[in-house]
Amino acid sequence: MPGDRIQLLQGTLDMLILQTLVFGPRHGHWIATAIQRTSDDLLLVEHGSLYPALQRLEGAGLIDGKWGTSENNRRARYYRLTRAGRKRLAAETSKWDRMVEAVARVMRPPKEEEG
Amino acid sequence: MKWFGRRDDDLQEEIREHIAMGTRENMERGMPPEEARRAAQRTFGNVGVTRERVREARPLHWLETLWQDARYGSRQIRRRPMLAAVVVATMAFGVGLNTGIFTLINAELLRSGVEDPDSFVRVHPVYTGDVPLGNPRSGRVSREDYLACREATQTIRDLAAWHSRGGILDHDDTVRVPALEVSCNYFAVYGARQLVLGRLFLEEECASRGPQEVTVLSEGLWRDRYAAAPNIVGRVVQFDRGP
Repeated sequence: MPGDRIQLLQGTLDMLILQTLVFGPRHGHWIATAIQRTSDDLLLVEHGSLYPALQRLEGAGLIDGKWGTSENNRRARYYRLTRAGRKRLAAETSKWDRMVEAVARVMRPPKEEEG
Repeated sequence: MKWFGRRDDDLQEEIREHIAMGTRENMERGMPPEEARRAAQRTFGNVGVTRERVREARPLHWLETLWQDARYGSRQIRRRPMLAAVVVATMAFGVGLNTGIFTLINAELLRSGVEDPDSFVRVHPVYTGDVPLGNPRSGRVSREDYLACREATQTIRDLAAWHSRGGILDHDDTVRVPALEVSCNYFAVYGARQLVLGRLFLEEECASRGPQEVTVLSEGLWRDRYAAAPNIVGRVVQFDRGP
């Protein structure tokens, strides 16, 4: 059901990438499919759009990329979360939580307040 | 931090492996190889666009493009030296024209005739309380106030006063001429010393406190009205029917 997929909000892709790397180094294909899979195929990620984001994050020192060998004995570039990346992820997560909560309050006000 | 990011062929290999992984997964789901590869490419999107975006995301991308632009520019200049010469000449002409006009305007309009503009101030009186003259900010000072200020000031070397009034020259003229009634140190404060003809106010004229009948004509007026008559000095100029 590709029609039901949601375009990512501007700026959220960086946060999602950092989140997928929490449990260890991963390569680009794994990151893309993980975002799609864990969102129950709701989030639409064009795999190519991942790479500019990875370049940006690596340039900012939040992740670190190194060539390694994939599970099928092929070469793949693995990205690892740096210390700065973990810190940024924690900050982004709490910012995101507060934003979701605030937007939800506006969009779905409690019944008793409707008067 | 990697200053220029990664090399492009390094990225190309990563993308190739990415699509290969997708193809392999699709085949494991039972797709024929050719279809599996096409589907993986579709999921990835446009490879050329991706490479361009990655280049743009590099830390020193702007420096890279600047260098490219400089090389491109020098190549163009070498290819068409005549065009480049015309462009340079046009720009030089434009800059020169601007500079020339500014110099002219600066000298004619912007620079004041005051000897030392940085130390020159204009004093505006502001009266508080009930003012019989009406507008407390009218900028007018009474003769007594001016003299008192001139006596009392310590920050200003000298204070001159003026009052603007128009009048009619000689008897039958119909043109009103702008004139200033000034305190006798007026020209000294302005730093004006050179005259085409005649003299400015004299010390003894300043010494007495009453009004003096000495007129200084502007050069323009002297030329227009009196045809630059050399014998103007000493002549009595009628102003508003008084000498």
